[in-house]
Amino acid sequence: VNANVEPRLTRLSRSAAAGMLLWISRTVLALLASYPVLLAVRASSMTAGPEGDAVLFQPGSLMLLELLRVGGPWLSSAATFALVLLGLSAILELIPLAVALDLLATPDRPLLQRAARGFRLFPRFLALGVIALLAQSALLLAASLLGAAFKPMLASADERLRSIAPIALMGLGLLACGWFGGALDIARAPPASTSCRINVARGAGASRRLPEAAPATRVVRCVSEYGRQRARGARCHLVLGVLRSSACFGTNAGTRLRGPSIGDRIRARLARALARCGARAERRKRLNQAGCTFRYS
Amino acid sequence: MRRVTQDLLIGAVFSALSGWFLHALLLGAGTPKAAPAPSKAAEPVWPAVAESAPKVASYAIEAKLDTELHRISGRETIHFVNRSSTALHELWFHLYLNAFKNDKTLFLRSPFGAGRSGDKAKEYGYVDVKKLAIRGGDGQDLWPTRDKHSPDDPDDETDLRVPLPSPLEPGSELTLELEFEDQLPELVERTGFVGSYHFVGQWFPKLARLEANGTFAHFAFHAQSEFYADFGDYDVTLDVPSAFRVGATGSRVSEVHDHGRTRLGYHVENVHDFAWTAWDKFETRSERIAGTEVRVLYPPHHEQNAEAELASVRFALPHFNARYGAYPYPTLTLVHPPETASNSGGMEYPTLITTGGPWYSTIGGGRFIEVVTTHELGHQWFYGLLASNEHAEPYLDEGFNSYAEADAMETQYGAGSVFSGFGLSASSSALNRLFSAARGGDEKVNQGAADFATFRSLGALVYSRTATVLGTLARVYGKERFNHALGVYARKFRFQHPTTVDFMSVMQSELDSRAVTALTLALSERATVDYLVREISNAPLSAAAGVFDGPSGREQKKPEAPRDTAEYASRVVVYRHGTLQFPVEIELGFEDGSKQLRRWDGSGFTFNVDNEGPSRLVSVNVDPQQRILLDDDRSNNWLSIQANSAPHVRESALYAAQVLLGAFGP
Repeated sequence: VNANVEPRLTRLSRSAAAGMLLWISRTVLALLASYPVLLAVRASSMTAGPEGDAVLFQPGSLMLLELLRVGGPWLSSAATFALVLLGLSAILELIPLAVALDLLATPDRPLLQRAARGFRLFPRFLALGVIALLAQSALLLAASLLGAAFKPMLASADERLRSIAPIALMGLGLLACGWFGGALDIARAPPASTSCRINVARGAGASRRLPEAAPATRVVRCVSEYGRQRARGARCHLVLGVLRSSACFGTNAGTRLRGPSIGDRIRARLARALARCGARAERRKRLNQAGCTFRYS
Repeated sequence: MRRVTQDLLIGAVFSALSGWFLHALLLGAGTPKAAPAPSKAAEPVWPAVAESAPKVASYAIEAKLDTELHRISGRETIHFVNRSSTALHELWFHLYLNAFKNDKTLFLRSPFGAGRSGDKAKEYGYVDVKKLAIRGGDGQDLWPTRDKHSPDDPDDETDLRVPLPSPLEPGSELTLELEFEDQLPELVERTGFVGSYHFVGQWFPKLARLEANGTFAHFAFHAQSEFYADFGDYDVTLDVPSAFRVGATGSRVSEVHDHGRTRLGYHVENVHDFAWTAWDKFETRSERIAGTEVRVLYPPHHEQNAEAELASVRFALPHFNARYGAYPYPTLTLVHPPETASNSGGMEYPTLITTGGPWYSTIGGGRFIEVVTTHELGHQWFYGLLASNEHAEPYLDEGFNSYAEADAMETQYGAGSVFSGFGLSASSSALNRLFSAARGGDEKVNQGAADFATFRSLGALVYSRTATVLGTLARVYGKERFNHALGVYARKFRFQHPTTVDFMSVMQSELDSRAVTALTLALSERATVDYLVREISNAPLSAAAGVFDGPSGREQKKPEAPRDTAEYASRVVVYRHGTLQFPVEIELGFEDGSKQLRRWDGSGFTFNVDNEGPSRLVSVNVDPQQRILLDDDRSNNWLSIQANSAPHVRESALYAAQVLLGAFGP
């Protein structure tokens, strides 16, 4: 299917579906990762009062500090466990990411095939992630060591320079990490649609349709086709990143604006709805017992 | 290209929505609280404030600083008046610079990490007295007759006795002439040099304080201790290289330039110490605040810090003037040391305080600069004007001042007095309570500085627990009433070196005997308090059943069948652990959403709260206004029979996990 002729609405809905898939997967995994901390807080009995855990967020943080004092050891253990879960979640999230990339890149494919493809790509994505993580760690370590090496040299320098230099080096390290992250995005995006080899073959095919073209032009066509596919992958990642982060942040901000616990509100609304149904059924039963004819209105 | 535009458009819409949420969120959470308007209550009545101190030891010093060798050569004249009731046969000198002479001194052999700065000396310092003579006497040098070391400590020379050739009768005066030479250490605990920066405290031979009974309150310099001295007048001339800028106690009264050096004259009355600093890189700002000439000396690029410090003084100086009586000196000097000399930061001397912090301290939501400036400024009253014995009763200065600092910061900044940002805020009271509760039972507060097991213990108890005890009283008796009582104490005992007894006498007259009992128990006997509630019970009300013998004979009443519209008898038992007693409020919450407030005067160890009404009791909250800051464990102050849930925590933890996954995930 030529993407240029695909109906705009369909394509938009695919983008939205990909964003939604990633938001749901991230929310579910984040719920899993944060659960130990939630349990530790609830176990501290700081939330057992009539105001629940609202007291922890009162101005001045008297009760929040009390929670840290009273529940410090549990919270620390829970946070450690949560970090482990967070790491596992980050790995598991590669599967929905692969599916979402496939959603963006390929218009027509049954959902099951997309899921299978996601699982198939998982080892490759994981390997790429590990390589990038190692490279990023090495970069940050180098920046940190360089900062430490500069320290004695800057002993007599301006105070601002002394404090900014290591931060600036670390900032450069982080920028390089960001670049690696971008490279990782580009590296793993095309597999969702086509492999590197196919891209080159496509370019070669396109150049064969130009028999009069010089060999250099053919090579340029191959490379440009490959680059186009990679750029497409980078765009997919950019869009997905923006969608997912915006959705997470927007939901959180909206929750805060609307008051605590959307989940509790939904549960309460469901309970009210069930109670209304029950009352209606009871009323119908009584009317039937009284010999009245009940009609739905 | 069009596809790219469309995709990014979706993201932009999401981002715009998120931005709107963020804007709303920040508006909701980050709006700074305006300082409360001053109340229009009737003007409080204050006791008369002394205008001058009883002068016992006045000093005239000429000192010359060698900035290359970090040496000071000085000549000193001490005018001493025996204001005690007995004749004196000896004098006691504090030579505190000797604390840094070698690793065996009382100060440096203390376990480090337990001291205030946690640093040991790298280059050593000392003071050599070259000569001590009585003016008008026979010219005999008394110094060789001194004891060679501090009492019972052959390795320490910070507390030395000098016998007098003849007794000094009560009311008699004496003028002593000394010559001395200081070698400054590399900066340890607010004294010494780093590069060309010099901070000079505890630098001249100084007499120990003479008590009314004729004994000297002398003590060797301990790493955990601060100071105690008599009031007097100081005339000090400092000779420094002209390129150096100087900040010092008192007012500059003369300035003479001569051959690349400058002689600066300083004069101040009614103080008990003199400290100064000299550095060739200082920048300065001055401003007149509440009738006082305030001067800030700060390192290059610290303009933001200097402004934050001046802003703090703009609020705190008038605030403390109103609370504890007017600041009586014409000048106040603030010294912000360079980052490499942070050990000289956060200290108080008469009319001179040091702050501290890196050049970026004002960035972010913390108020470190403001807290330190306000704290050190508060010392001008509790350390400077009251001048209690910081060695024997350190809480009278540091503890009271920590309360005063928290009160000033919270008056100015509200609940975010220490930190405000990212939707969270932290107050000074909450932090004081945290440290107080963590170490509250370890040792008693009211003991000598050297008697505390560690400096951490001293910090938690002297600073934080005292502030928490006073904060609790302020919340129980009312802030206005308690602050008035503290203001009476600060005014009545200005220049008087008050003790615990003096403080308690004011609390007795301004508050009541319960307050004195609570203070005594909390400060001197490690007393604690913990209010707690264990269970809630509800039972439907019904007429009494059973066999009753009445005037008309025996009657049997059967239990009533449960009714839908039953009334309930509810009960909750509140317990008080510990020996401190404070009146406390108990908030009852009922199933129908109504609330009731009950009061318990805190006497006894249990208190039954009974209620009869149409709704079941579902929650109890002891001390809902959080008045009892001393309450050891606040997690047992409440109970609710409704399900324990934590929606705010769940949402915050969920979002934090989402953000972390975004940062470190795919």
